[in-house]
Amino acid sequence: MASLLSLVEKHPAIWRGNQAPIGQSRRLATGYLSLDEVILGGFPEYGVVRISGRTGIGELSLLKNVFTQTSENAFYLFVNPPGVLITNSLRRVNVVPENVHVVSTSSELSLWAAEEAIKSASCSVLLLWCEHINAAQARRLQVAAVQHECLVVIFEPENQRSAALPVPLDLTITAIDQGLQVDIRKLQGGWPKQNIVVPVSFTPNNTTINSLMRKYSMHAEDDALHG
Amino acid sequence: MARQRWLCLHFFRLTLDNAKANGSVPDQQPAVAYHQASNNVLQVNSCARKVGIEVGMGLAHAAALCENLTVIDYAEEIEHSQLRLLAASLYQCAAEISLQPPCRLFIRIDNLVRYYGDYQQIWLAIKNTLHHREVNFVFACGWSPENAEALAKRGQSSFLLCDKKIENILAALPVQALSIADKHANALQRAGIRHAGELLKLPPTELGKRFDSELLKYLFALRGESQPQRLFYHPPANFSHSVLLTYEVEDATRLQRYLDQCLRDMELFLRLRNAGSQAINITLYFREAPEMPISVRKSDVRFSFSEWQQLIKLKLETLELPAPVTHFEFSSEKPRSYAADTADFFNSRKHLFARQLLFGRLAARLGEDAISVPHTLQDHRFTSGVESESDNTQDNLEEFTPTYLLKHPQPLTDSPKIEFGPVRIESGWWDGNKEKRDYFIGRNQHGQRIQIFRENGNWFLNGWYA
Repeated sequence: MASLLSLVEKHPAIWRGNQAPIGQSRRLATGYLSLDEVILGGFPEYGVVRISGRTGIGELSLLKNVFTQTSENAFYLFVNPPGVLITNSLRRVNVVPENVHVVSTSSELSLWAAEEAIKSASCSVLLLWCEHINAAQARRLQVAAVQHECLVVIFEPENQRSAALPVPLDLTITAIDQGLQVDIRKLQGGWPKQNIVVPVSFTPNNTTINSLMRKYSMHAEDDALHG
Repeated sequence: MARQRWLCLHFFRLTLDNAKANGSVPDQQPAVAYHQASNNVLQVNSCARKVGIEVGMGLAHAAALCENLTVIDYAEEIEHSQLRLLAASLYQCAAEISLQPPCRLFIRIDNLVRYYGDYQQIWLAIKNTLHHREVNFVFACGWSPENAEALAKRGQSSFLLCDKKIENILAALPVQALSIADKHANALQRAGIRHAGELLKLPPTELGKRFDSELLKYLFALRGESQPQRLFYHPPANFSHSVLLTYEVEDATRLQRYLDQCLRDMELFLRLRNAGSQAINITLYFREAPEMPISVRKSDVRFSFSEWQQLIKLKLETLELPAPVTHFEFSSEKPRSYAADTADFFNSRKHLFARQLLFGRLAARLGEDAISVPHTLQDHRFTSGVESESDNTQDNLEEFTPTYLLKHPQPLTDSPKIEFGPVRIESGWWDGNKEKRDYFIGRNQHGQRIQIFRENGNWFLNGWYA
């Protein structure tokens, strides 16, 4: 019995609650310290990461720094993105548009396409948008991704969120005024944590103009008073 | 000590063989290589020989014998360059190669037996290498390069290993056939020594009284008793080759076939070194104009014949020659080894094939339309459906470009807060899809950054920023 237990303890993915996990593979830092601290330095190099949240809250900008750490000719496959993917915007998130291909298909076939892409060993990063994924499907992708050294990010709408998945990292993101609020639902080798504030900003805004305008109009008022 | 064995290869028609290989001499047409300075025909092909042209004739004599004679200028340095290429390919099967420009080379073969097993195998390996290069040659085997050379100069090929037979042939050679100075040959002739056999029988001390040490050294080498120091061929660090055109070329694209041949030689050169090169330098020499250097660059190191061919073709198409080209030099930039990023090299190659395979599989099940590349906006309109001829890229609007666009804008249902804008786009007046829109970045109650626009007083949702 004791020997069986020690067998279990030798497994690199199993650790005691009061110990730090060992044998962590390379992590791809997101560049946001508040998040990296909690997720053991960054995203796993290979494997499946689930991100639940709405479209257009900075979900790709959050991964911007992860993308820079892939190799120069890394091949990206976007499966079922929520709209027509625009070349010019990809440079903003440090993805070389020439290395990107898009697959658009039905949601049933998208999982098949994703698995094929991972198993082809040509794909370095696979981004998959899907409505629903179950544990068995996620497990298949996870095994293939680790074997073929591919980072798979699954984007799922928040309201469709399915049950826990056997993946190394599972996040929920919500837009807040300071950027994004990240809730870690599951982290292999670490503990879940809620309410991490990540200052993601990815669109230009009128703040500068507005503040200048305000300043300028105040001066104008001053001038009007004194003049 | 056992005697050494040397093989002499005498390429007696190198200039003509080269011209034939790059297609400038038509098959079954008489052709000669002509040396202008001495007014001598130096090389004759079989067709020319049939009509009676022989080596040593003047040009007028040769031209009188045949009306459609192709005359190729003989240049020693070009032949030497050709010889170096041959040595480079022979270096793959033999280590000790010594060049005797312009057209002879010696290979030491006795120490190769250890690797090949017997002389038969060595000869097959050498013959196969030369067969690919389509050159005519005479060969002979001897105890020393000098010995083999003397045998090869007879003009008959022999691969003799028996000492007795070599001795017999050598003894029968006339003194003029040996590589000794004319004045010595004449002196020997006057002394009644006509054949090499008689010369070799003379005691060296007696000869030493009458002739200089050069001749003695030569005779010792001929007997295989001493081996003069020789410089062995060493492959160069860079690939370079010079090509003399058989006729002057006025149209740059006609250089292509000569360059193709250079590329093939370069391919072999680089493949053997597991290296690649990113640049090729070509220097064109003109009849009446200063030379013109051209450089062709490729982005990746990996050698690809078709890619280089395409790049050179593109370069030549735009090239304007100031005068007809007479010859050119072709060289590669310092080869860069793949070793530093070997893994990447093989990875990317594997990935390339794997990617094509993947596209094939996906297309087979999902249909060709299912796979696409990201959409590039051709002009300032943020409309995904419009195909435009304009080249106006959106570099200045990159920050404002949404990540995803809707295929068709939808009427806006919620009331987002405007964060950025307006950006007024008034465009498309030339293709019938006229637009006048004010675009904004909005943030809705869920925190989504959306691109919205106002047209004719109505608001529409156009895309998302991610």
